[in-house]
Amino acid sequence: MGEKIGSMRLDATDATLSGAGAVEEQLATFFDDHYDRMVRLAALVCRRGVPAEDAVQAAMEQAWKRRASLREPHRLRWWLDRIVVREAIRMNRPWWRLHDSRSIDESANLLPDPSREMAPERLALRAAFASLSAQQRAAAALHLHLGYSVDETARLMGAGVETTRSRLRLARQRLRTELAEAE
Amino acid sequence: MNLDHDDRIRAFLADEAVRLTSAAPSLDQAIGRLAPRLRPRSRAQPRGMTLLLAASLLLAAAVGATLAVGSGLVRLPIVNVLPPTEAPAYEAVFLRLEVDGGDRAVIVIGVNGEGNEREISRIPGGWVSLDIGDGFLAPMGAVSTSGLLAMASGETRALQWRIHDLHDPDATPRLVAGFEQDVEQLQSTAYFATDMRPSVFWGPFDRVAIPWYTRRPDTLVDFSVALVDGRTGSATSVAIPSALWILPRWAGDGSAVLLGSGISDQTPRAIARFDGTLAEVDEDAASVPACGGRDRSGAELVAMWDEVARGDVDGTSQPLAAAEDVTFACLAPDDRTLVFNTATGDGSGLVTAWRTLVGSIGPGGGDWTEVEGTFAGWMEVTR
Repeated sequence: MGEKIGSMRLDATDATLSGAGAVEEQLATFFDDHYDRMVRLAALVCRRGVPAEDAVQAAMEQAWKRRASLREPHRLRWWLDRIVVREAIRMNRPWWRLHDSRSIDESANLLPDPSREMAPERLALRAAFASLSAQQRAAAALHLHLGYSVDETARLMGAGVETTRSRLRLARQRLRTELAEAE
Repeated sequence: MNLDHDDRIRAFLADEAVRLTSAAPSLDQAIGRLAPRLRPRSRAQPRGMTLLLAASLLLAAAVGATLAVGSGLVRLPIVNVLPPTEAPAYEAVFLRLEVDGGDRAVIVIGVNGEGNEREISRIPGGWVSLDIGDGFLAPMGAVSTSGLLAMASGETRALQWRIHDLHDPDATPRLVAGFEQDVEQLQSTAYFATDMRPSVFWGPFDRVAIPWYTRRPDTLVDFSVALVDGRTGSATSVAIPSALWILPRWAGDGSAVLLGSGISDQTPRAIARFDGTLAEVDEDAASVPACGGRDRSGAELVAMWDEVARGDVDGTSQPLAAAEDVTFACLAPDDRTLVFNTATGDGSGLVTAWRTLVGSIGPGGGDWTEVEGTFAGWMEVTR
């Protein structure tokens, strides 16, 4: 039999998916402590036009179907973040390698929201962050927002440590440049 | 200075995370959307019980028939015994672009479950020749099981769709009139991945759906779907409201294309009909997916990051192929052959190459052959 997380058994064969309410209840128990963070993480990684909730849905489905493979229940947060960040990157992957690859949705992300007053610095940061690759945004979100170490960030993304350092350096450089210019 | 900048970047990320998720669905809403996909669609009888019941009925029937014939109560009719009709076989169809100076042609290749290739057709002037730096844009199209290939060609800013009959390569392709597309509207594969809008997909009775859009000045787009009679090329376009999403799925009678509510929501919410109207979906009506994602036993094909598996209705799963980052998997109509697409990375999360593999499943299967070209669907062939 599988390990327990709360009242949840982590064993695929143990999941009784018979009743309509049973699935909802098990999903709620499984994701309750993590859902908000998963959505925030996906939102930071996804470019405009790729709904973060879709990345989260895909991640939740993957996680639920693969929950039996989680052998260390205390690493559930890490495990879920790993799935979310990879699903979010996957959904942001360009399907076409065209010379002018910026989509209309990405361009729209750079436009100011006319309904809100916004400081120039914030506007510049938002444009700079939107211009980063999904991998750079993911590295920044994991390391600078969620507080994972560089090593942990690398493992979460399935990337080398040096590659991750490079992504973080480029992301920081881009954002710091905007901050410096705004000063 | 840099530390100060880092703090400001952290504050920015925290604010952005809140701003971007202010309208996100709650956990309850997310679960409401997810749960139906995780629930078994039918309550299958345990296989052992079914077999036992079938065996009992067969035995009873055989004993009864023997007694009846032997006692003279029943006389067997004299009939001509016809040879059993062979079930159709299917080839995976791939498209390859051949560019020679200013000339180009699309080579249509058929591949069987053993990975053997044959050239089906050669289409001069097919697709586009768009130089993308390290080569040309790969062709994309979709083939019906009856051998009709829908493929766009022309200029990258004004592509027109044509229907090619792969059984009659000399026939003039039928032009699908009524709309044009630029190359940006098309996807790298016809319609199989769930996390993308479909580009073109066949349904029953040689009908094909082609989603397209027009751009608005405010950077948004207005989607339509053209429902096309593949035998004549006549098309009817239906405007799709922004709240709906075209699913790669036809109504079972070929009268409509199903519409969902989002990129990963495969639950039909409405239909776009051949008469040009939208209507509510009949939840009990049969539907046909663009590509085989479920075998005839009801088991679902599940494409994960690192494997393709068959998810049985009882909740168990059976791995079919191990592969990194599977984008789509498509089962032949006879359940014998599988095509799937997998990414090869450089270890850093960046994809360096896409590979498409073909192989037989079931007893003796599991050998995968990499095939060059873009997968376009399954075509029925004589054995």
